[in-house]
Amino acid sequence: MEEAVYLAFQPLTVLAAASGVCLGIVFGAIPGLSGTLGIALLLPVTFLIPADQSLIMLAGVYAGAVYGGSISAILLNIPGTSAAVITAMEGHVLARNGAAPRALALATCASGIGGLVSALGLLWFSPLLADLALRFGPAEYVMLILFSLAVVSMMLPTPLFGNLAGAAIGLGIATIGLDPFDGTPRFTFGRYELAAGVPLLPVLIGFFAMPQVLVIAYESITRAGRSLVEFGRESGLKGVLGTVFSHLPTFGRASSIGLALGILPALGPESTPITTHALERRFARDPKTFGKGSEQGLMAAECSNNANVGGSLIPLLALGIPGSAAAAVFVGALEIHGLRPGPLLFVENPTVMSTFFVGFFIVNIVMMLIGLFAARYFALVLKIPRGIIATFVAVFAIFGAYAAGNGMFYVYVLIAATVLALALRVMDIPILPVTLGFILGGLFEQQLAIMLTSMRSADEFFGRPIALGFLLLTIAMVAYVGWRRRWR
Amino acid sequence: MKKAASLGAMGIVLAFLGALLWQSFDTPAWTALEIDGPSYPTVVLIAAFALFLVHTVRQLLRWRDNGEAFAKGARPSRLVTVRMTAFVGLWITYILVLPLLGFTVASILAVSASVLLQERFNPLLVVLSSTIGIVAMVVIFRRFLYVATPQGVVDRWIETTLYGLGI
Repeated sequence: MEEAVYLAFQPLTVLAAASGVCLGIVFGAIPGLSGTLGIALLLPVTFLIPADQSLIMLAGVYAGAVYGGSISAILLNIPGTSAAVITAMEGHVLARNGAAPRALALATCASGIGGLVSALGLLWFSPLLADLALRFGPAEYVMLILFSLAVVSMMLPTPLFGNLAGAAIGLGIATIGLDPFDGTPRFTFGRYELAAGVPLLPVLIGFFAMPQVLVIAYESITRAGRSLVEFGRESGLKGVLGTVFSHLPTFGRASSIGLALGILPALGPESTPITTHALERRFARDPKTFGKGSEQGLMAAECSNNANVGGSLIPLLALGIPGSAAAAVFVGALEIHGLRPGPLLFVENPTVMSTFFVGFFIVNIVMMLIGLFAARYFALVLKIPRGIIATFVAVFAIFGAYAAGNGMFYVYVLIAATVLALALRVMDIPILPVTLGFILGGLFEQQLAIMLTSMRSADEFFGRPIALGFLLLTIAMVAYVGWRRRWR
Repeated sequence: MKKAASLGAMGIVLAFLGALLWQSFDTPAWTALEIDGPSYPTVVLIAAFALFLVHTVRQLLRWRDNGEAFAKGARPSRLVTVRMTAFVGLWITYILVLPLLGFTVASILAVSASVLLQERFNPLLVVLSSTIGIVAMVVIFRRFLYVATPQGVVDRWIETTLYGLGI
């Protein structure tokens, strides 16, 4: 651990954290861009950086983007990311009343506290979960993956059959390439490049970056107008810190919920603020102010969405199951450096993981400092014309895909993934289950085959309590959500 | 327009799944593992196909009942449609000409055209700033970060010049 602390505080590592946070804030502050897109675009660049620094930088992008969404939410009433919907509702009222700097400072402190709590969670829970996962056999993995796919499909608000179809399509895409057992080529259509399977990076860029280019270009062409709120007087840091310290129970509740929900697949940073805001209203002395510029509501929302960031990385690192879309793209970063997410990650790369954990603390501290002292300058990025943003993202996405594969094949995969993502979006099928199915598909097939080979009777399965527990949880959740949706 | 988009999207997904499913019948099952029955890809793709069809039918019924198409949002004006089509066409053309023209020339042209298509800026200024931006990007990524970019005549000339200058 001492070595990890030493490595994490190296100037280049701190620089990686700071640059990641800055880029993330820019991506989060600009409506239409997101942390997921930022990570996807930066993935090819991380080739050039050591594994620990690149993971810290991407974690900085992720955390920074979730926080950055609050800037446009407070100043423009446009949530920069979907995680900042509640922030817009509460923060913009404060900004309109001339308290924009105070609202931004409160959001910054809340995000920082949430992030630090999630860093603690990441530090404690990931190795514990990984230890538990070392006892997993094929049956446990198969049931865990089924459970994760079921959670994603059940929790998303889009039509249930569409979500399930998306997960199955993802599993289907993962079957492209050589058969893992007898080496027979499957669906390669004569292209030798497909023998190793569909490359992850261009697919992620095609799923998350390119469709967004079209959305931003459309907004630019149709010229959706907006006006910036004046920044106003200084934040009064002393007063802000006083407010923060008087709301410690709020931070306790919000960060715990954010962290816990983050661990579950599909419940990314965008889903937690609504839950915490509703809960905090019950605890508030003056619940009538909620929705009309409540500082407590603003802090709870911001704290929970940043607590979710670390939470969503826990199942990814410990089990190989991403907890959110951004965490799913994170898999690409791990793969670039030859790291396989899952319990063995901690055994095979203890220094990298420990450095990453310490680095995640640094990320959140840097984010707080940048937010408190430089948020007003980040607000300037909101003035960049959308046409330039769309063009910049398009060039970087295509360049990134080319650079990742060192040839045009990855660019063609990027286009195919973009077309599929757009078609699915039109059909109201979300991309998250497809991504999760695609990422987990290879492992699922492998473990399923081993499970079927090693277990010749159902009794053997019932003798494995963890696998049985996941199966029962999956059945209970499917039954409950199915019943609730029917009842509605 | 919305109906056409929805039908087009449906066609793309069905064609994709159909092509994979058709091929999957030729993929062997896990006979080496002594597991009988259809192959794993066949099972997964049949599930995907069936779930997608159920979803599509439910969406079609919803569409009929509520009078709404899949593709949401207000119908765009003809001018917006033309500009969006041009935008998509521009980036597809960019990808097609990238191996021929190389990254520098293709990107300068594409970036300039893309910005001018969306924003009302001075064309000269746009071309100038695009050129500076792209050349800077090429120099940084190729010379300092050793990241590959598609090579054309201009790219090779930049390489040679920088090499000659000792950079």
